[in-house]
Amino acid sequence: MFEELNNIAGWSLKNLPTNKMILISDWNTDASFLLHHFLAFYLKANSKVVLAHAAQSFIHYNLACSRLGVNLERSRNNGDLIALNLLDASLQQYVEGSCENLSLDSEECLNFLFGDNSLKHLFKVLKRCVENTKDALIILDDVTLFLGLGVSQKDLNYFVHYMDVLCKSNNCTFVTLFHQNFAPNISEPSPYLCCQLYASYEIEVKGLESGYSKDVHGVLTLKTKETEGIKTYQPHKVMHYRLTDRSLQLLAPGTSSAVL
Amino acid sequence: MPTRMFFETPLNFVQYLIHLRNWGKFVCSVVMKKVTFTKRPAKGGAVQVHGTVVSLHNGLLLVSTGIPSLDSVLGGGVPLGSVFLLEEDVHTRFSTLLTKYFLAEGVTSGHGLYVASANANPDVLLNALPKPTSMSSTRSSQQKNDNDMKIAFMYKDLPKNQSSLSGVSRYGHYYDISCNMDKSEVEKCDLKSLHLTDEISYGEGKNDMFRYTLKHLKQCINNSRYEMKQKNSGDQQLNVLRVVLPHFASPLWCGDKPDNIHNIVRFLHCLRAVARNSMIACLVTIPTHLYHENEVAMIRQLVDTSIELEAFVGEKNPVFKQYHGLLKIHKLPRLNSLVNFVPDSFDLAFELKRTKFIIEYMHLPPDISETASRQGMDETNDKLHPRSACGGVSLNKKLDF
Repeated sequence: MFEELNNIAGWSLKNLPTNKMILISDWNTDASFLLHHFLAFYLKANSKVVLAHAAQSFIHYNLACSRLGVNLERSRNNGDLIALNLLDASLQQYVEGSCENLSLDSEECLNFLFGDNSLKHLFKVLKRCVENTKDALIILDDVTLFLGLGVSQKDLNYFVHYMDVLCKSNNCTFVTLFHQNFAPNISEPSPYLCCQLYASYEIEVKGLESGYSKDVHGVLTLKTKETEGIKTYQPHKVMHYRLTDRSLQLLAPGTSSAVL
Repeated sequence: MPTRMFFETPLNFVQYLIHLRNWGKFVCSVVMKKVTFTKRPAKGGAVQVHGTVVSLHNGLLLVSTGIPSLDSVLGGGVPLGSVFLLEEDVHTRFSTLLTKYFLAEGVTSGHGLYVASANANPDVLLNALPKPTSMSSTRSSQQKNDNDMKIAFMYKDLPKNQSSLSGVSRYGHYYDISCNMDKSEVEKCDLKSLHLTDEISYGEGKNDMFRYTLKHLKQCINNSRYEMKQKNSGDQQLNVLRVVLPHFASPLWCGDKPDNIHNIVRFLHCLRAVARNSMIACLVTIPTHLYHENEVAMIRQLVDTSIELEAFVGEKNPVFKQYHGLLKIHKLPRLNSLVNFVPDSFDLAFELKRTKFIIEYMHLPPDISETASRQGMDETNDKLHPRSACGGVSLNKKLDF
């Protein structure tokens, strides 16, 4: 997990964010490294994690997280991690019309691809996974993919709302990734704004305005929505980041070693 | 660290070995056992597939694109199990050439080939592959280096890393595009092609052309040497299948419905699922200039690598005099790790010579001091900064205050 990110956000192994929705958004870049951070973070804290991955195969997460010090294979065997392989389920449904050999969970949640095109079944499966546990984490890679596959914006907004209610009622946390370069249909509410509405934390990742640089990979903005207490204004924390094979280095803008 | 580990695929075992070697732990206990306790020259469970090399950066198995300079820009080649998108230039002249190189490299490396095309018959493409030049090595089996490595014995069984720019290696060959490859060479390969004409019934209408193609591809891979699920029992040697979809998502592929982008996205998503579970390297070429920017962004998200060729058509800029176009990199593969390989520079241009196609880093012309007068420089300056509309005379000397 990325220690510096945890320090800046005020998270730690004893102070996990719960009951919240965390939105990771990016613009023209790929912020999926933050998903690995949350995976490693919650697994180290011995929480239950549900990983619904539609964008990459399980092996990708396994190998990437092994650099962060967690073994996803072992967690899956222990029962700490439930991996819903939406990628393979989507393929099986596309080719055969049904997925029989995969686990029951994956089969049901992919029913949206044939039929009413809504994410109800996916929601039901996720709800079932976190039924009797506390402090679980649900990671969904990647919400914009569903928009590309044909789910309407309205249905996606409903899904996000349902997930938010699930988080608050079941004490779990929902993390998802949103790519902002999807252009919304103006007649319906924008899914990005909807996600922002429900998210308590938003981590926005963009490239540098001045172009590509080897030392500073981009700008990371942490937006926190403080709902309790008197403080109503929380400034956005804007940082430059540099991603290495094992860690994420966060720097105040302009303090990179290449500049100073 | 657990003593028994289960790997879903032999490929991951290779990657895990490389990863462990980087960490410097426990390589001894895994590899040494095979060397000391079992006397056969075991490869330690590592997969050896000809025509592939293990990446120096992240331990993935790579296959060559056929153009060594493109391989070096991509960090060694195209990773196995990934989808490579080539965004076509407007007249498809150079993208067709790159496709041919990719296929020719497959023939020379002994890989299987799969071509699915809706426009022209795939045979047209396959009959015009460039011929390998004599500098390329033949498909001989790897000479086992039986030197006793007394100190580095743990590295004995790991696959050798080879630089893709050297012409002598088994990976990365040179071709002569002015001659065609012998048909007999092409026929030696395991070749499957699919020509999507109107005669084939797709099911529920033209929109199912995508689904039909994917089903056909999946059938070819199932229970064959390209599937990764089989144990290395020795009866079917694992091989790489190069899947090429030229001119994909062109108007012939798509029906008349407005939600074509969803069909394309769905197909690419499922293609990624197929690729991750098999020993295939896909090359898809799409005429992205026909699509809206956001649709193109969506397509790029579903592939692993994306490069675009922008050919100069009627370009008079003297800075680009020797080149035929620009190569833009939109996405580089980031598989199984947090960071990806990045080339030294993103200013790349390509040039089509009489016998080959090369990609180079573009350099600005040298900045000679202002007082030296150089004819070439003056011409350049004139063209880059045209005279003012007022018709004033452009001074060659800079005004000095």
